[in-house]
Amino acid sequence: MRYTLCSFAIALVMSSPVLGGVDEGFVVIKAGRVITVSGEEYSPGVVVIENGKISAVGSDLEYPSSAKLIRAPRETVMPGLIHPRSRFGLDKYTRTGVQGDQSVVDEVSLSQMHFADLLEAGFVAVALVPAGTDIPGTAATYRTAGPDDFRLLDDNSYLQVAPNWRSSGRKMLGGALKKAKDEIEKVKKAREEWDKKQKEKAEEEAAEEEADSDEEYDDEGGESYREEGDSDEDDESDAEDAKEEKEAEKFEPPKIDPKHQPLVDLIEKKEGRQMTVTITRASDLLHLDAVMDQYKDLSRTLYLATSRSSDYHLAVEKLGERKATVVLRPWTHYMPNTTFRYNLMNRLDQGGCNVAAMPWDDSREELLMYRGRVASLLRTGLSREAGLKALTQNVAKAIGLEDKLGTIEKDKFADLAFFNGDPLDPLSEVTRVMILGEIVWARDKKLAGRE
Amino acid sequence: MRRLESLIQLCLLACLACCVLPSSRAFAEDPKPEEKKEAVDTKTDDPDSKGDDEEKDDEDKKEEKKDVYFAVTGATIHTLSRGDLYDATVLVKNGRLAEMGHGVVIPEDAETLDASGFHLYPGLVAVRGGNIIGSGRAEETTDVYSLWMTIALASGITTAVSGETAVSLTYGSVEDMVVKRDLFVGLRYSTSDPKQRRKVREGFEKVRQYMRDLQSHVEKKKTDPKAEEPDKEWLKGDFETYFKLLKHEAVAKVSANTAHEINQFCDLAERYGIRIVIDGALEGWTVARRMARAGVSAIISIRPPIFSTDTGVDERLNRPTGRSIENAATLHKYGVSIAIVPSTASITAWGLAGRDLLHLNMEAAFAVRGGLPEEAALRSITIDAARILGIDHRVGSLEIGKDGNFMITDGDPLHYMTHVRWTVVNGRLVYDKKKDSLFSHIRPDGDRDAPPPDDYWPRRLGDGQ
Repeated sequence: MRYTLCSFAIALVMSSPVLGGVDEGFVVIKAGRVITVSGEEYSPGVVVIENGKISAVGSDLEYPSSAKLIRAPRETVMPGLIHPRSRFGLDKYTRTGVQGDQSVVDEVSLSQMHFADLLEAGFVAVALVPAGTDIPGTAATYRTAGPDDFRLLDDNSYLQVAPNWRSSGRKMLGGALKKAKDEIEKVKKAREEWDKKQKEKAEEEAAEEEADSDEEYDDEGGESYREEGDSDEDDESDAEDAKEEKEAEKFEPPKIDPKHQPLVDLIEKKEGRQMTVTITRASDLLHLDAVMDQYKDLSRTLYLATSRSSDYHLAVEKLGERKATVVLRPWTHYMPNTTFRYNLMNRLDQGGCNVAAMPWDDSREELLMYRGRVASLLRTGLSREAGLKALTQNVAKAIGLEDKLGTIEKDKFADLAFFNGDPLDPLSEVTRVMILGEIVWARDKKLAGRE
Repeated sequence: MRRLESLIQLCLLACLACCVLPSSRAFAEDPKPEEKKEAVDTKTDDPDSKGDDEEKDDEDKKEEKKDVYFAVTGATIHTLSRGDLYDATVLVKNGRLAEMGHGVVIPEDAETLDASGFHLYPGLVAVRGGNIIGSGRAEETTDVYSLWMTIALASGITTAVSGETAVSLTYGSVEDMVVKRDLFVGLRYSTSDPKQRRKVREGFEKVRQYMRDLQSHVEKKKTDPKAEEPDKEWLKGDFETYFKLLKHEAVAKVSANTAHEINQFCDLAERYGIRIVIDGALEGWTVARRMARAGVSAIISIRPPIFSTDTGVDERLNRPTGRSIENAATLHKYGVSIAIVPSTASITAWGLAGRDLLHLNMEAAFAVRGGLPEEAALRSITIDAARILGIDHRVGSLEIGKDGNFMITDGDPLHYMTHVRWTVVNGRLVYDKKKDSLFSHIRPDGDRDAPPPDDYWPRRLGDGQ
């Protein structure tokens, strides 16, 4: 609901030149380098932004002379970083059990939260997740800055599924899925019954009409005569009939348990719905597959929760086969019970997965170190392309916003980050952050005004 | 005299024939029941074949589900129930033993393992499983890649018990794990509380009376169809357990160590004819005759701890009539069926001291030191243990139709030098000493000085980079 509101508002804005500023919302960035992530790099590069959305990108483009120009000759522009799952600024409030009707939106109070740390690290969006085990609710994605009305990007990014695989997790998930299926069956049954009733009614009516026509009327004139000369009683009964019919025509499905509604949506393949399942070890994937046997094509992202030491390498092949989208922390993992280390992110990437990275935690230090951590994986084999994607495009994919964020392409939001060096150089810094075509944060206050 | 001699010779011949024939028959006949089954199957299929569509559907399904074969050739097979086979082949079909013996035809798509020179035994059964299996419902919570499971498989264990569930150690798969649920029921019969003991006995009497009433009711109903059924509203909780025990639908597992405690349970078993498994039975050897008469079986440790951190040294168990290394031997001698398990029934770091599941076979070997025949020792961690758990129809020995669970060793499993070379569970190779980092460096195959194999990187650690 909020999401639709939000997009509606954006559509409104795009039709009126409010946001852009100077002329019909045109903003042009002339940067030393533009990394689109979707493929090409332009050096120097030009990004043309119209009403908060990217309209063109290249190395030498024409643009309206009245456009607001942002000069960044020594800076590199990249899609802003996205945090795929965070509790940034939220309380330590946890839920257990199947709570699909809950959303993190109810926990968020933007005026109380200060996103400066995220901005300083180059983040333009953050997916806030409900905390807790089992199914604690749905996650929502917020912009880290910008006009208040545009902060909420997506109020239904994904359903958070965090089963406790060591005890009753599999049972919980299996039960929840079964309940959701039962609810669907319930509606289906009601629908069938209703259809049957309608059919019977129609048949009865048809029979009655036939009988009527047989018995009373020989020609149409008679009928019309009768209708005109109907008594009051008949009129009333007709009206009632009509009422009944109208009521009957409107099929009211039985109410679906709101706690299972998101799962029902998932099974019915409602657009834009997906879930993120927490996996703590390779074995959990087998248990997940066993429980999801009937729901193989449910849209799902996997969150590899265990860090530092893990046996996920045993699951790489399986994950690669199905081109899974995985979210994990950047780290060269230890093999279980050993001091051998391996680059999990690289293996998953090589195996064919869509790898999305996430910061270790929400502390300022970690947020600032995040890019560097991904960059350090390049040393042990991760390709530069995969590293960039893990920071932006694949994260957008993981939270279901791949058509809005994550790359510098036409019609995507102009939510960008500026760096004073290569983004995958641990020593480079974020200089500016742009959201919807406006600079919302700048390291050097002078830069904020330089146009 | 000559007549006597010839008579004796005849007797001997007859004996020999008796000894040889059954075993030879056993192997010769083994494929036959299969054939018979197939014949029966086709017969039962026949009525279906009248409906052509159905048959086609069935065929389609069959085609979809391809049979999975796994074969081991060249090994010396110790079946533990039907003697040994030399240089023979074992064929597992869809996780179950399909054929065993010489001249077995191996299907083309079968995964084949050449185990020439190795010994093939049924997988070991650990009557207590500890940390190998997840807590809660085993098949839903077990970490099938865990180090503990790998170590257990490296020790030859293929079946372990967690809580009241017997589980196959299916490394890397969560399918077909559970062998049996609800293995035992609990039975409280306190030696220190006479009132409680009386209550239990009265409970048994009450249920027994109910069973008699039920019997007479059945008789009555033959003449009087309106006869009322005896009231069974009260048959809940403990009473229901007693009912199950009396009907031989359940086995009770109780913990008892001193001769006094064991005697109490023997009394109970004798009086009501129920099946009891005694867990512990430290002083069982002093009352072995009694135990055998009462028909109770025992789960024992050969080297139980002499003290616990809670109570210090337990004088009662250290006295001359206390625990003994001859416990297993004595119990076996009197005919008590025993399962052997180490005192620490899990894989632990202090397992290096040899008292955890990593050394299940060594625990049985210590029983041999105490006088237990070697074969009985081996049976106490395989078929006898399975029998006590009530899963001997699935695991514990090598017979057609049982689970394809076995360990392939480089020697006598009771010898301290022996290593498990391969372990197979449900017809899947789940442990390979050469490819796992645990023991691959110890006495590798063939030449001791040979360079390490190309694929030395341990499987447990994934593909090396």
